[in-house]
Parts: sequence; C-alpha cells; structure tokens
Amino acid sequence: MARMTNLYDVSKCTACRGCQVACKDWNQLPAVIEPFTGNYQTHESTNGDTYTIVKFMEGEDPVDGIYWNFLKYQCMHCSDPACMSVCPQGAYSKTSWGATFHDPDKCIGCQYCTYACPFEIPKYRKREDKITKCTLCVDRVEEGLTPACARTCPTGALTFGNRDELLQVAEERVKFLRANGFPRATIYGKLELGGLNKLYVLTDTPDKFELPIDPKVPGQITFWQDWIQPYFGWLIPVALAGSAFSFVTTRILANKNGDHTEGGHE
Amino acid sequence: MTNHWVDLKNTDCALIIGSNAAENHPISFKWLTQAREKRGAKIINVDPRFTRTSARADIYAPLRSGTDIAFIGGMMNYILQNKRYHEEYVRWYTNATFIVKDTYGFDDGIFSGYDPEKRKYDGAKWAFEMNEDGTYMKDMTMEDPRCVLQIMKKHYERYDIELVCRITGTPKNKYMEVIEAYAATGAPDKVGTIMYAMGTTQHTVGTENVRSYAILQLLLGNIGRAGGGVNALRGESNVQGSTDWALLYHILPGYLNTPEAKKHPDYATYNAVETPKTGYWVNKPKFLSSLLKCYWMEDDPAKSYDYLPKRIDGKNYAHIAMFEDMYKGIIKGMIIWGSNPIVGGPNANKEQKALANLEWLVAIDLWQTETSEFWSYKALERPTDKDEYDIKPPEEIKTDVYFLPACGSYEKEGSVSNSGRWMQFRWKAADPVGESKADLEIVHKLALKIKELYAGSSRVEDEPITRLTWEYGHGDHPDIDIIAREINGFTVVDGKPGPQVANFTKLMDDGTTACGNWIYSGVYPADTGNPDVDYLARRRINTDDQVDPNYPPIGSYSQWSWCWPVNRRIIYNRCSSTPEGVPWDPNRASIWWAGEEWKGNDIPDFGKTTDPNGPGGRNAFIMRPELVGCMYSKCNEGPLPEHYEPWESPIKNLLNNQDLNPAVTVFEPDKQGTTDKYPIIGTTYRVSEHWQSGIMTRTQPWLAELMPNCFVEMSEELAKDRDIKNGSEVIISTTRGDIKALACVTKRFKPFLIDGNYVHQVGVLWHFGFNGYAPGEPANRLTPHVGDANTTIPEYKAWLCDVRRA
Amino acid sequence: MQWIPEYKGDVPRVERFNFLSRFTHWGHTVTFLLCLFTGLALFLDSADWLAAIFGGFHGAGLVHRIAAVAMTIVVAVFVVGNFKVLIAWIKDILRFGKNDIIFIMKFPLEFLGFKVKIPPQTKFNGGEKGNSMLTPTAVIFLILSGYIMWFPAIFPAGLVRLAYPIHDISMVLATMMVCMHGYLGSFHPGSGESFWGMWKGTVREEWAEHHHKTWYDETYGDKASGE
Repeated sequence: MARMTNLYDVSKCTACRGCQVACKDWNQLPAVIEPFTGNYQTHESTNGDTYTIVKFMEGEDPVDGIYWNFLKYQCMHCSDPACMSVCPQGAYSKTSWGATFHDPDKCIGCQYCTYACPFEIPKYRKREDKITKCTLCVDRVEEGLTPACARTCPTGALTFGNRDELLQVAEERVKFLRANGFPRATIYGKLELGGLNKLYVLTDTPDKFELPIDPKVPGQITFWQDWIQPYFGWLIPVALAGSAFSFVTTRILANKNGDHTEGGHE
Repeated sequence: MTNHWVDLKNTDCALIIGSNAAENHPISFKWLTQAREKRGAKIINVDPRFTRTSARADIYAPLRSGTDIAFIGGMMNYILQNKRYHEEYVRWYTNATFIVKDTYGFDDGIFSGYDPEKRKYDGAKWAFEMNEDGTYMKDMTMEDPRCVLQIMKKHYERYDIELVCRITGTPKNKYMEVIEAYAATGAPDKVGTIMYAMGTTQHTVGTENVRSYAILQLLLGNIGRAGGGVNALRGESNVQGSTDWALLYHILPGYLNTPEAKKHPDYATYNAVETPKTGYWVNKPKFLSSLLKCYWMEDDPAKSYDYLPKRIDGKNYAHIAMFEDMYKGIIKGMIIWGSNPIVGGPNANKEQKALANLEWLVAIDLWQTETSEFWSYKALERPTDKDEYDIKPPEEIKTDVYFLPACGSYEKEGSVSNSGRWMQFRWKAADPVGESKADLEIVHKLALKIKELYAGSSRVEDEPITRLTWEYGHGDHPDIDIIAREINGFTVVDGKPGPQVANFTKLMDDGTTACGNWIYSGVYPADTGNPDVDYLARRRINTDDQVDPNYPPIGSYSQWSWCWPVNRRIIYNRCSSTPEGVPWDPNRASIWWAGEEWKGNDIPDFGKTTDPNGPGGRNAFIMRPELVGCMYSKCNEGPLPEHYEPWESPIKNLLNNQDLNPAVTVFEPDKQGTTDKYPIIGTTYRVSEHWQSGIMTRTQPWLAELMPNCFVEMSEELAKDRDIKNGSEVIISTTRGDIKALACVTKRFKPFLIDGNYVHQVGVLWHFGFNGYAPGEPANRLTPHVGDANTTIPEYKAWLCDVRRA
Repeated sequence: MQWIPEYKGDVPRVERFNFLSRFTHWGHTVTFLLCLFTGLALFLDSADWLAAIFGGFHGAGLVHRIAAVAMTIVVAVFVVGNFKVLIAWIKDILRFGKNDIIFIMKFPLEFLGFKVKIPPQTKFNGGEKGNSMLTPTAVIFLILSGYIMWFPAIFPAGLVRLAYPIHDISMVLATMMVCMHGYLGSFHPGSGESFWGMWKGTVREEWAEHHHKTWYDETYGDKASGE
C-alpha cells in the first residue's frame, strides 16, 4: 500500500480546533480542563487524553509586524520511529501505509518512547499506566475513511491522501506562498528524520512554529540504542562464562595437586 | 448576504470589517482560501484587535471600535476624489445621477429637517426632484452640484486621510494600504466583497455602518456581481431564516411592515400607505392578502386584517425597549425561547432585575439557561459589593418560572436558512432525549391548547383565535410537509388548500391564494407526491454545470437545496453585466443578454425578456422604487452615513459637534460613563469555541475544555500600566456593574493613537454565565442600554470601562 | 565435588564483617536480584518469560519498583547505621597500592586455580577493591537514574534521556561484577572462605592471615593498635 499521510497547510488553518474536538470524539477521550495561562492554547503539549492540539504562537517581527502562528501538533509518524526502536516490549509497529501504531495491550508504561521521541509525542496515561498517542486513525483509514481531524477541517487546511501526491501539492503551495508574501515558506516533514508521515506547509521557518529545525533522535538515545545495547551487554555472559571456566579449572588443578582445602596462592 | 458562501471564492479582494470571520464563520475561509489560491485574491481585515482572521489576512489594519463610518468615509472620499469608482456602473445602476431637492442640507453633523426635541428627522426634506411625468430628475453627466454624486463628494471631502486616522487610530500607512487594495476593485473586471457581522451592526450607528459598506460597494461596482456584494455573516445557522420569518417586532413574514394602529387602521389604508408606486413592491397587497389568507383561510383578507395585532404608533418594541418596560413593571409575563438575556442581553444586571418583575416566565431551551435560573443564589453572586441595580435575592422573587426542555437540531427535522439565503432541509438523526420536544411540537401543542380554551366563544375579540386556521396534521408534531406547502403557497379552493402555486408571481390580492411567506414561494412548486423531489430545500445535487461555452460556471450549485428569491443565488445580478448586457468579466458571468432573453449561471434578477437597450433595460434594482441602487437614501439619522461617536466615547467627535447619533434614543442618561472614571474602551466578542450565550457549548466538556474561562484581552502596555500579569484575575467595571475575568495580555491588542493621545481598548468574551462546565461572569453586565437609531440593536461593541487587578 | 569451602567451626576464627554489614549485604543481594530479574523481564525481549514469575509485566514492574525502594532503604541503612564501617571501607579502598596492582596482574592465574605468590593484602584485596569501587558506583547510578525514570515529569527531558543509558550501563556493570563477586566469594576454592565471612561474620584465622596479611596483622596480629 502506498504511503498515506496528512498534509497540514498552516496558511489555511484558522485555529478553530475542530480537529482537536473531532479527535477527542472519535477516540472518546475525556476533556481535561487546564488552568488558563494567558494564551488560547488549551494544553502545553499533547497529553494522555489529548492526542492532538493546536498551538498558538504570537510574536512581533520588526519588519512584518505582529504574527500569530497556529500549528496542529501531534505524532509525526516518522518513517524510522525512535519510539519503536526503544520500546522494550515491541508495542510499536509501522503499518504498510506509514502510520506508527502503538498497541496499548503490549505497553508497560515505561515511557522510554516519550523521551526517545524528537517531538516528545507519546504521552503517559496514568489511569491506565499506558502510553497513548495519535494513531493516524488507523481504525478509520483501514476501513476506507479519512482520519477524524482531516474529515472535520472546515477550511481544507488538513487533507489526507497519498504522500507522494500530497508532497507535490505541498511543493506547489510553498511556491505560491513564497511568491505571495511569505518568502520563508517551507515544507516540513519532507526530509526531516528521513521523511515524516505528516507533511506541513509552513508560512515561516519551523522555529516560528516551535518545531525543531533539524529534528534528531536525542544523542543519548542513539548512543544507547546503537552502541550500548548491542555490545556492552555481552559483558554479563562473558563474566558468567569466565566464572564457569574458573570453576572447572580450579577444581581440575586442585585435584592434580591433591589439595582440597587451600586453593590459591602459597 | 446579497451573495452566498460559495461565491466568496470568486472575489479579488475581501474586506472583512466588523467581523471575525475565521473564528465565527469558519466555513467562510474555505472559500476565501480558494479565492486566494486560485485568483490570488487579497484578504483585508479591519478590526480593533489582531484576531485569528487577521492572522490569515494579507493586510491587517486596526481601528478603534465604533469608527467604521469614518474609516469607510475616508475610503469613499479617496475613491471619489481620485475617480477610482466604477463610472459606468455608478451612472446606470445607482442613484448618483439623481437630483436632490434644495430642501436637503447638512450643517455640523445635522441634516435638514431635524427636531431636537423629539430627536427625529423629517425625511421628506431629503427627497429627490421629480419630473412632471412622475419620473426622477437625473443628470447623466453626474456634474450637477445637486446630483447625488456631487453631494456625496462634498459630504465626504471632510473625511481626509489625516483626520480619519486621528479618529480611528489606524496607522496611516496601513490605512493607505487598505484603500489602495480595495479601491483596485473599482476596475470593471475586478470585484471585491465586504464581509461584516456584529462588529458592524451592534452600534448606535449600526444601520449607517452597513449603509456605508453598501455605498462603497455601489461606488466600486461590486453589488450584484459574483465575488462581490455586501455580505452579512449570520451568527447562527438560522438567523437569516428567523429574520425572513419575522422574528423582529416591526415585520411580518417576508418583510411586510407590521401594522400600526393609527397609521394603518384598515386593510385598504395599509395597502395604500405601504405600497410604493414603482418597483416590485407594487405587488405588496398580493403578499399581504396571501399571508392573511394563510392565517385565516376562511375569512376575507379585508376582514382578517383586523385580526392582526397592531402596534402603538411609533412605539419601540425592540429588546432594550421591552426590558425597559419590564423593568418598569409594564410587562407581566414572558415566554423566552432559545434566548438567554441575562448572559446575552445588554446591561444584563438591569435585565436580571427586570425579570424579577414578571409574574410568570416560561423558559424553553436545551439546557437550564442562566435566565431560567435568574432567581437563584448563583445568579445573585457578584465579584464586588457594587450593585447598580439592587438585584433581588431568591426569597424576594415572586416570579413563577416554568422550564420546557427543547430538543437539539439533530433531534428534529425541518429547514434552516443560512446567511446566503439557502433554505436547507435537515433530516432527523436521533430521537429527542428525555421529555425534550421539537420547537415546532411545543408551539403546535400550545396553539391547539389555546384554541381549545377559546373554543365555543362567540366574542368578537376572540375571533383572531377562534377563526385561526391551524390544520397541520393529527400527530403531536405538526406535519412538516403541510407547513412547507403552505410556505410555498397554494390556490384556496372552497376555504381549503388547493393546487400549489409555482412562485410568488402567481399570488393574488383577491383572497384566492394563500402563502406563508412570499419570498419563500417557489420552494414547493410541484405536487408529484414525492416530497424529496417537490420540496426543493431537500435537493442535494452538488453539480455546477456549464450552461454556455463562453462563460464558465461560477459556483451557483443551483440544484443544491433552494434559495430565496426563486432560487436566485446572487441578487441584483443585472449589475453583473454592462448596461448593454455583456458580462463585465466573462470568467465571472452571472447573467447576460442572449439576444432575445437573459441567460446565465443564475436566475436573472430582472425581466427575463427585457431588452437592456429598451425601456427599463437598465433598472437593475427592481425592489427599489427608484429602480437603481441607492447610495443616497433614507435612514432615521439622515440620507448619507455620517460619523458619530459611540454613546460612551473617549473623545469628542472630530468631524462635527454632534457626539452621539442625533436620532438615537437614550434609555438611561444617568448610566453614561465618562473618561475620568472609565478611560478604557470596552468591547465584547465571541470565539470559535463557544456559541452565543454558551448554553450549548459550556455544557459540552470538549468545547468547555477549549475555552474554559472568561477572559479579557488587553495590550501589554495597559497591563504594564495597571500592573496586571498575564493569566491573573482582573475586575472590569462600568457604570452598569463589575465582572471578574482572567487577563489575556497580548501583543495583538495595541493602544490606539487617537487625536494625539494613546487610548486603550480591551475586549471581553460574552459567552459566560454561572452554569456549565466552563462557568464565568457575563460580560454583558457591563454593556449599556443604548442602541441603533433604526433597529435599536444594542451597543455591545463600544463603551467605557476601567480595569484593575482583582 | 565441593561447591563452597566447608565451614569449620572448630578452628580459630576472627571477625570479618559485623552484623549490619552482613544484613545489608544480603538485603542488597536480594533486592538487586529482584530488580535484575524483573528488569530483564521488562526490557529484554528474550527474557520475557521471566515476567510470568511475577505475574506478568505489570507485576514485574510493580516488583521492580518495590525492590528498588527496598534497595534504596538498604543502602541508606548501611550508610547511616554503619557509618564507621563505611569510612573504614573507603579508607581501605584508598590504600590502593603496589600490592594491589601486583594482585590484579597475577589474579587471572589465581582465578584459574594456579598457585601464585601474592604480596600481603589489606582487608580487601586488589580485586575486591576494584569491585568496591565499581559496584557501589553503579548501584548509586542505578538508583538515581531509576528514580528519574520513574518520575520523568519532574526532571528535565535531557536528564531523563540520559537516565536510560546510565541505568542500562550501570546495570550491565553491576550485574557483571555481581556474577564475578558471587563466584569468587562463594565457589572459588581460594577465596570461597570469604563466603562464611559474609554469612557467619567470621573467617578462619589462618585464612585471614594467609589472604589478607596486612589486615590480619593490623587487626588481630602484631600491629593491632590496642583494640
């Protein structure tokens, strides 16, 4: 199956947050009212009961004046997801069309994935001792429907389809935006981390949307994953084998010397 | 809307003023983004605060609340002085050429004919010169100093850029950017649309605000054209419908004036007074006759006219006036239906107090509204000791309150009419919960019960009820099909419904036809027995066919639902073509003269076979007696919009010496705040996440989660000045009361430089009340009891307040 | 075949570890092994079957946390209750000298059972000193990183990310040392007697003199300073 993905065009998003509600509706997630922080944003980031949020970022540019950027934020469904590689239980898998799927039945709530994720997306749901995150509506897509968020978007900012085709659309949009007042417009997710399964058309550089410009799986995680786990762990069997070897040799040598009581030096 | 939602995709430039379209009409941006994508359209947003709409606009210009006429007046001045208007259009399709009588005058903010005692104008002083044959005197060169164009030029020459910016607080460079971008739509092949909402109308000059947009659009040749128009974005799915159906005191269904006792004593007088000599309204007697026939089918309209309740001549029955009467104890009982005035009404403290004067109150809503619990302790709580209206505690309230649960829109069937006048049928998705009932069922049972109580009475004063025709089937719920047929109209045969009429052109004034609302006539024209086919509001064919190879389709979707009048998607569409009948822009052709008749992508708003070069061939506005678009017209405060300051304003009027609109009624002179105590401009508005008084959204956890708190948005400068931290509690106070809210300190609000001084403005969300998952204090405890001079729509948008830390 | 050297109660014996040292040692042993096996069950795919012993992954996770807390308590009890011993231990480790280096160099031969000449050792020989440095360090890191992982929300994300490899490396090192230590301290013919030192508290005087000459002399022999 071809890679299927969401294209999110911020230049069309009006931050109505229909996607946020549609997500809670489809996934039957409870509302969690958080204290007002002086911003329209409901939650600082995704949480165990909120798979997607719209971020609100306001600022002032000396040339362009005030800006108020919106960004729908959720799992990026990386092509080589760090969450999947660190998960000790193999709770993560990639679907044939590119969704990073998390199986709560296998999850033990260790939260390794939360911190391995360059976007800190998988979140802990305390009441179940499980990790949760956006599923890219696997249950809908595999029945031929579009994800709930894309289904509800009134302005067409959020669409769903074949990744290659959407990438072309995104390229066109960026070209258009660059020629129409957004010289720094860019695509996000095309190359990042080897290509995300969520594509963004941004009207400005990613940092203006609180997105990492060059997202990387944290060094601690890669070092651990690539070096410590495969090689270092062998020290334990080596120690065990050495001890066993010694156990045998000491006894052979002791028998030879007829000395039962006093191994060791003299 | 003169146009419709889909048509927004045809625009070259959208001026969004007095509206936060992206937040409160999210679907509008589906079409605006298409216009930007496919046509390179520009989106302009003019608003006191940088909103989500501004974030998606190409140009954002701030203006101080209540200064729209100054803003638009300056644009008109620039357009008139620099001849940026669409000259041919203005010449043929507007009254720019009409000669005004010399009794017209204007001096320092006052037009001729003003009576300062009554605060009323004699509009006769503004009349046009007539020829001897009864036609209007015109100067087609538009150079006569008394022609409308020259009068407008003179009127608006005072609105120079510098002065306008001193009034509105708009930075000059931004203002010029807006003017240049929008004036560009004056080119014959360019079209601009104006989208407005409550930010425009909810002012003491609300009507004139809208008129200033209409005049601007006529000047630029943007009315009646695809991608143009003056578009009121309605705040509810069925506000357009409720207006069409006379949810206002001054009209009957189909915009027929309600009769006044002395002015319209009988049927003949009503018709004589209300029927103009020219224009399509000459048919008014047919519409009234058919409406009366629909109410009292067995009676002659001349007789049943007497059954209609009559207004006291000149008396105001609008929301504010009604609550003032209730406050005085004149009104004894009230049925309040889907409304929540102690959250949504102006001066909510006073309105809450007024409710306690009622003997009985019936509240009908989906949830227990704050209004239905106005007598509770929760309703009594206030953040400070200040109580301007001496609100009564529960033990002193004697009102009997009844609550009838109504069901939601998905639990009933029927039609709604959207902003674009599309009447769309909605099927029922689920059964009503618990004891809740459809609104129609409630009104049906109420009507039947009342008829039952009056049954057998032979008293003549009971005849309006005893003789009332109420035949809507046998169930508890009225039969929607019967209602739809009645709306469309039918021939009355032996006092019973006969065959359906095709549309309102078949209605008669002799009592042989009945029609529930003439503008909707044509929605149920045939009678094949299949309502899915016959009832056109049920249509769901989403094709936009090409009718002519030269002219691509324009998004009319004529077979999707039905729109009034006669499924015409863009009204005044004669203006979409040149005087000779050729589309101004072939890519956005609405209708065109095809040699023998008008053809088009839409239903012509014109005589189908009227030759454009023949008599009346350029009378594009058939509903007006003048038969052209009226830039100069009659409103209660004058023939041309003039800037007046809001009732509570931080400055004197810089354009004339009349601070307040001279025709406005002031209900509470002692409650006028002044800048010494209340130096900050306050305004109220909505957000995407909540709906109206919040009754349907604060009760919904997922929506409450999105906007859980009532907050007040203010600039960083004001917050610093008042030592207010972002997110902290503040108290906002006016002469009407205090509320507590959370501070949202933002760069998106900036102080306005008004006439050399910085003036702060704050904005409060008005969705909140004491019930629901997201409780908060009603912002309308702050707003005043003063309204527009024509409609009395309350001044929610500009008043004076003070803000301090809680 | 003999596993652990026989306990001989009829020969002169000298005390090597006091009660609290022994108690905390074994307490630590139990909690460490519980953490190890539950940890392996949770995080090593090939050791998933271990989880069954603890009633599934959820149970294993619970046991892991309970054992971790118990381990923390044990360590704390040792540090607080046996402060003098701890200081002595540290001092002994700090006496790392030439004799220890020679011990470590010759140790592989001894390890395999060859008889080698080793210079006199203090209370802890060169190898034990190495273990004494590595294992407690690893355990401290295990405990600290473990709590960071347990309550990630209250620590900076960078620290949480660092905690995972640290927990892992410490686990490997500690487990390796535990294997060696367990073997040498019990089953190795030469050093097996020390098992009884940790079990009963005393070792044969002759073994002590033989294996830890310096310590023996300083504590019980000629150089004993008035104790």
